[in-house]
Amino acid sequence: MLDFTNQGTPLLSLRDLSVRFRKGKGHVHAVNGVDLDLAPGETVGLLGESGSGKSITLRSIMRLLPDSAALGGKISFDGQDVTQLNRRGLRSLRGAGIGMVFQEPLVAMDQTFTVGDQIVEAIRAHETISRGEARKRALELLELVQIPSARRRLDSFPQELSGGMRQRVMIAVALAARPRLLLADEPTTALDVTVQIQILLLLREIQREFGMAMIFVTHDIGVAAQVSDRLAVMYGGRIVESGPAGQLLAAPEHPYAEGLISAARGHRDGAGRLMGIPGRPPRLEQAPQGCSFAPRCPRAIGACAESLPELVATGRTDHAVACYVPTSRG
Amino acid sequence: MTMTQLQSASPSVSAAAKAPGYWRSVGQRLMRDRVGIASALVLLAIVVSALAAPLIAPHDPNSGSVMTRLSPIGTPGHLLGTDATGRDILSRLIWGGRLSLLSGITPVVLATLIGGTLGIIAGMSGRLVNGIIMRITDIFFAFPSILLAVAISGVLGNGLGNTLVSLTVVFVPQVLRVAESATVQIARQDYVDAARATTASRLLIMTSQVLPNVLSPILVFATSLIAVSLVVAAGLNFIGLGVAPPAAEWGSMLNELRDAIYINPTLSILPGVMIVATSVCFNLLSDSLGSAMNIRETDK
Amino acid sequence: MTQHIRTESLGLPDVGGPAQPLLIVRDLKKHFPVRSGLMGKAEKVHAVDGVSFRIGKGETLGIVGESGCGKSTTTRLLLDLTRRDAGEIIFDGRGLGGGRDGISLKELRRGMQMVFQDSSTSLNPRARILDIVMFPLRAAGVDRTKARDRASMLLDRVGLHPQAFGHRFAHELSGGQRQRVNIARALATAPRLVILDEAVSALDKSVEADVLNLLADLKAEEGLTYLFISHDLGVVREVSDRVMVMYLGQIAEIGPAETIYDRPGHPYTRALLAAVPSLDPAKQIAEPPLKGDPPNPINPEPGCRFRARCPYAEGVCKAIDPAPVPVGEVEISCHMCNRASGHSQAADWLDALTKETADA
Repeated sequence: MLDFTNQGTPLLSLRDLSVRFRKGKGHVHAVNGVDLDLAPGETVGLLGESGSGKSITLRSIMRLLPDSAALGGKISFDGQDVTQLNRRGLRSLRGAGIGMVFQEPLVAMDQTFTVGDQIVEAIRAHETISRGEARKRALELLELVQIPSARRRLDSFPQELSGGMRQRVMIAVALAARPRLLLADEPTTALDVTVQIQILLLLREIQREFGMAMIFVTHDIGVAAQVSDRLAVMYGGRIVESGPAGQLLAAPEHPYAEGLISAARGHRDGAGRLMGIPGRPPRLEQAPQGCSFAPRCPRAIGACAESLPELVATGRTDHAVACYVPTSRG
Repeated sequence: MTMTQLQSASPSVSAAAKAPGYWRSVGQRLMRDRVGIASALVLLAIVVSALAAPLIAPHDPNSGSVMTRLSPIGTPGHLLGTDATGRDILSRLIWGGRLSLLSGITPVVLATLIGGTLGIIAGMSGRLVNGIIMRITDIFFAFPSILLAVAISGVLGNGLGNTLVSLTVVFVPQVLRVAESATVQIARQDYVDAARATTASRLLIMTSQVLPNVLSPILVFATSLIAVSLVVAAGLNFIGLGVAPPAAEWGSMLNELRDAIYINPTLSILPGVMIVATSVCFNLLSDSLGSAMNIRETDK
Repeated sequence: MTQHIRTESLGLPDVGGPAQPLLIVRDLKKHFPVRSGLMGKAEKVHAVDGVSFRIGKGETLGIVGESGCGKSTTTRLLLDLTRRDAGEIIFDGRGLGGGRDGISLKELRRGMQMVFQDSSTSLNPRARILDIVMFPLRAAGVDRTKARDRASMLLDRVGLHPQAFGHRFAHELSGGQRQRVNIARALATAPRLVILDEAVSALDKSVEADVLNLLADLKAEEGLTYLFISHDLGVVREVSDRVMVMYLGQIAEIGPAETIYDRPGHPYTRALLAAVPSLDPAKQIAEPPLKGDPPNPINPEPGCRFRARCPYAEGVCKAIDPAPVPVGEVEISCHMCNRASGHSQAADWLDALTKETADA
């Protein structure tokens, strides 16, 4: 097993995490053995396209999965095994230990309560303080997330706010109980670029100020590059490459990561055509036998289809890749 | 996938032309739904026996002997006993199915045609036409449906025809509202805009793009409405606003057997069982229809 | 052998010749009435407020801007999916509703089509793919057999084998495949101008490239003209010859894509481009270039629309609507790009801009 952190005990550690959904008569193997360590105060960008399992991985940390999901492997947060928690344990984990920010604040928030009430609720769920006291804290939180005329906004309803303001409110709710880990699931995807960068900078600032760790799920490499210390690229429900953000983006080892990054950079081939990745994302009806990317991979060899490549260190600092033919050895 | 690969084979549509369409796929999904099949079979049995009443009913439903009045279930010759005037209950239940089903289903069919059409028109029209149709609908919604049915029946007087009319009037606004909201929702979709951006007429857009997509919520609602309609129709007959005696009908039978409750309670339950069973079956069928028509529930 | 989509029987002929812009839009306006609350006073959202531009034949014009800038409304006005309040739409020299020499809406809709964003609602969920592509043809009165053959040909052209895909339903296709169907449907009546409204926005990056390549192929082979709308500034740069930047219903800047991306002249364009996160973690953005969300264009006050968020705003920006000024090949609606406007920084700003141009 790899130790990415070099800093002793990780805050969060996922070991062989797997998530399988019942669907009709069969299954969807959404996450197929994810190992990830997160140091206190560290930000990992979990990068992947639709169906890569990035959001499911994130949700399983909070145990926010539907009943049709079967969770396997180990999730330990701060030394306790999240998979073994009962309802009460989960509640304290969800508020005090881990906060979460979603893509669509309107769906995630109760529209019949004012912004102030939602934050007050979130505070009082984990601390026994008076309403008045909690309201004062709510105001501080709104100021922290840089909402203009915060006092007035306490009494607004979520649907009265613009997209960017709503996202700020949701961040405030997530921060209400001073979590040590913030999970962000594509929080800027629905926003304009001009608003997106404000939210990204806000998250980065808060994360640094409070020494909070963060997992940031996104499909947008540029966004991931803005906020992450480390990147983990997912494909077919597995992490295929992980490493320091700058290093990974500059010189990816996994052919999928390579294809994704050159597509995002708008690279063109010799004939002037934009470079994408031919083929289709993997079918998830069966647990992968070999590398899920093998059918689309230009470098695939016989072994790729037969056995699952493990995430192994490349020799570069903190860098690991799950590939039999990584770039540096190819 | 490269274009050159694909172009090597000359395009042909013969396979596409033979492939099952949407309705066929709905049928296939329905056939795989056990609850749906079971409730459809029960309903089929009830409908067939009602239609075949002259052939299968053991006795004349309207003649009986005072000698054999209120005989219990299981009496030889009278499998489900006899009522207060000695008429065979099994025969009356079989014959009664004719009127009960007729007065339960016909108003819903009529209301679906009228309400569905008006609802789609309202949903696709501008603010003025929509406003007029929907505000009139609102007036009907101010009254509870049973009360409205009783009131209209009371005004129109007894008789099967009047029952049908009053129930239809009650159900039209309900179907209309479902159809309107479904249409408004569908009309906002990009594929309707795509159709509007062609040279297609409004009528063509309505029949080809909107109708197939609003039909499923309307049909599902209508099927569940039959369950309600059966009960309300029986209720009207029960309080004597429906068919004239001695005609057999489940609702009026329930009324006739009311007195038997002190002598032979099981007898008085029988028409009620028929009403409830039929109604439940229509409800279950509505659920099955709903999931069969939900295009995304197909298993890939 | 590739079959051409262009056909005599369906497409509109080239009337004006190569010099005639395919589309000229003059002073397009759409104000939506809104009412705040039951008794609230009626207000107007100036969704599109005096937009004029032209698209040359064979050109791709990209439109960028934040949500609410009017880019999508503009496309709907062009196809008359939303009725315009004012403005002229001139297609190949013929004005829409312009009497005898004009073009009818029916003709316009054969010459101009739209590819919608991939979503669950862009294709009729209860129709087979082949029927979806056939629909515009059937609507134009093409008989069933001919329509079917042409729809198969179109599916083939967009890279979907008609035999394998024709009988499927939209939900059985991947996002990239659905988008190919969307393109095939738009091309059915052999349009000359195709509006691509966020046409690749919902696709994964690795799939997006394939669809963009397809669009580039079709454009080259069929001599198409594109109007390409996207919130993804990178993609717009990839595909566009010219770019139009919109802000609150008006054009901030319009000109050659390269010039606008490399040397944006309008402070809004500058901010917009500066907000795009770089793929290089070393180039982190330190300060957000713009504060707050894009405002609503409800009853806008006179003057420059951008002034409330503009770091260079002055008295003149509040007093006078900036008219478009040519700076090289670009037209910019900003007082700083007009020496005579009275803006204190106009000279410096223009000098810096022309110096950048000279250096490039």
